[in-house]
Amino acid sequence: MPPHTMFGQEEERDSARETLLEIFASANELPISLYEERNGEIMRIASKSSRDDLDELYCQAIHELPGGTAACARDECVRAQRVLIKGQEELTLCHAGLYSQAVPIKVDGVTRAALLYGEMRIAEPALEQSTERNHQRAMDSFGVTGQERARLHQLLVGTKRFTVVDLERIKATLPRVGAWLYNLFDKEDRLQRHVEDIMHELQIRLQPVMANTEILYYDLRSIASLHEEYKAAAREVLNSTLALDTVIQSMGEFLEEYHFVPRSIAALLQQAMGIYAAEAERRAVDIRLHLAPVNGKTPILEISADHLQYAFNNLVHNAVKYSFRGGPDRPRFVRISGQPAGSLYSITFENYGVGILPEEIEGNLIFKDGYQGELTRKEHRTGSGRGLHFTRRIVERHGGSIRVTSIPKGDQDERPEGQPHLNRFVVDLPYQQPGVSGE
Amino acid sequence: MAYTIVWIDDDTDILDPVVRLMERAGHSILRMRSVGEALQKVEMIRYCDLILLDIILPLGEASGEYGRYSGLGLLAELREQHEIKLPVVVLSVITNPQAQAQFEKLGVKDVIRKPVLPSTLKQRVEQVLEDTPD
Repeated sequence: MPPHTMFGQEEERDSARETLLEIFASANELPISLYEERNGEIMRIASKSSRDDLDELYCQAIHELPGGTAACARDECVRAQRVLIKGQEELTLCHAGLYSQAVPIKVDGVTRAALLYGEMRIAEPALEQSTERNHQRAMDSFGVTGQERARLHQLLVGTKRFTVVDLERIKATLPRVGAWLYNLFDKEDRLQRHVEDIMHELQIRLQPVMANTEILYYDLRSIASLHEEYKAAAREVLNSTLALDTVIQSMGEFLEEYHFVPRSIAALLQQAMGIYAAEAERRAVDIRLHLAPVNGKTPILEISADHLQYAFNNLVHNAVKYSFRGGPDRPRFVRISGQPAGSLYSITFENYGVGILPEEIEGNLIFKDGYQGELTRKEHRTGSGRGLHFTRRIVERHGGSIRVTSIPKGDQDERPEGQPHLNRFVVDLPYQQPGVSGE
Repeated sequence: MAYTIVWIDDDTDILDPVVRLMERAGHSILRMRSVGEALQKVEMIRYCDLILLDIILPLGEASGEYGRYSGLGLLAELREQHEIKLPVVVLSVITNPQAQAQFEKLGVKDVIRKPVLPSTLKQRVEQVLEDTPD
């Protein structure tokens, strides 16, 4: 399984598995565990139990014996392995005498996981005998004698008893729900691979377009007699290819190879401003940049340039895109400013425009993968919903942080775009990365 | 300053304009298209100033440690068996967090994502060359 998925991270899958187990454990008052084979090893992926389980008292007592926990874990693992290999359900008896129902989860005929639910006694004479036999063996092997042995036997007797009919009822739907869940994960993986294949293909195809466009632009720019309109058109095509590249990067899982080297962040910010200059001009948005020097020089930070370029592109584009479209007396601007802040350099992206709802800020919703945001309480923003999520990941991978404020400004008139807000994204980045030697 | 750069990458067609710009800037570009070709021309590589490397190359039998990253397998071989210590810049479209550790181990100086602007590539390659002691 990949660490991340199209629609969320692996933790979300684990959470889905746990929810399934939790529902089962609560409904049947039985503990349940899920096993998978990962990298050649049988691993318990999730486990749930109901607090009211009487059998837990017996299991708990066995666990508390010296070596008891290890014996139970080993025993359960062996039973799960048997189901994973054979792909057949079975009623399994544990070393201490309790039964589990073990069922394979199959997708397209392939066993993907094993579910073990129990521990329980079965109300069948032959099976009760087996319970008693294994219990006594376990007591012998753990060296439990006297009153302690009698206490453990009482706990065993108090363990919940199920009939074979009860078992049939319980196992009717569980494997099917499990298979459905795994099938969903598989579809998600296939979709993600498909999207990433397309993303890579687009990036490869974009390479000659981007390269030729830049060469063409610089060649045209050097022709003094050429009308400015053509030069401007070439520049816009070039910047559009860069903007397209930023969009393509948002399609799949983000580039993970960070390579930190000391660089001026001014060049990255200027490139981001350049990419969206034409769009800003069309929207009559004035973009300005001022970076306070550090020790009299342009700020140099240890950064992974490709990553931070993406983050800056995203922040600048959002600021331009959501600058307020209000009346002529309202200034439309994007201000990018930077200043030293102790061991960090702080960069602020500020615009006057469409606000961000308080609940989107407080709940960190705007940084959630796939969250598109509200334009107003009635409208949604457009875009992939991934840009700010990746931006925050990139900033945090640099050892920095990003925070946002959105303050209502001006009168309270209710325009289609909502009340104008002063929006600020503040990115704090360290000058140096731990363990990176300056070059 | 003009440098000689060996560029090991199979995407030769799409990189033509980038190579052109590097050549316009006065650099000599020696292009190789596979692991096999690079290993045949080790002695030519030795006398270059920098290696520009794609990490997934055809005809590569990378060791298990490098998996599908045959370009990194090639780099390991150039470093360890042929004692080539040239600075290396990786240029690739592939994303994988595991590759980062390999970059550090093999002394990669910069990692540039495709697609790249010719001017960006030129500037970053020149930066690595300027930062590399003779």
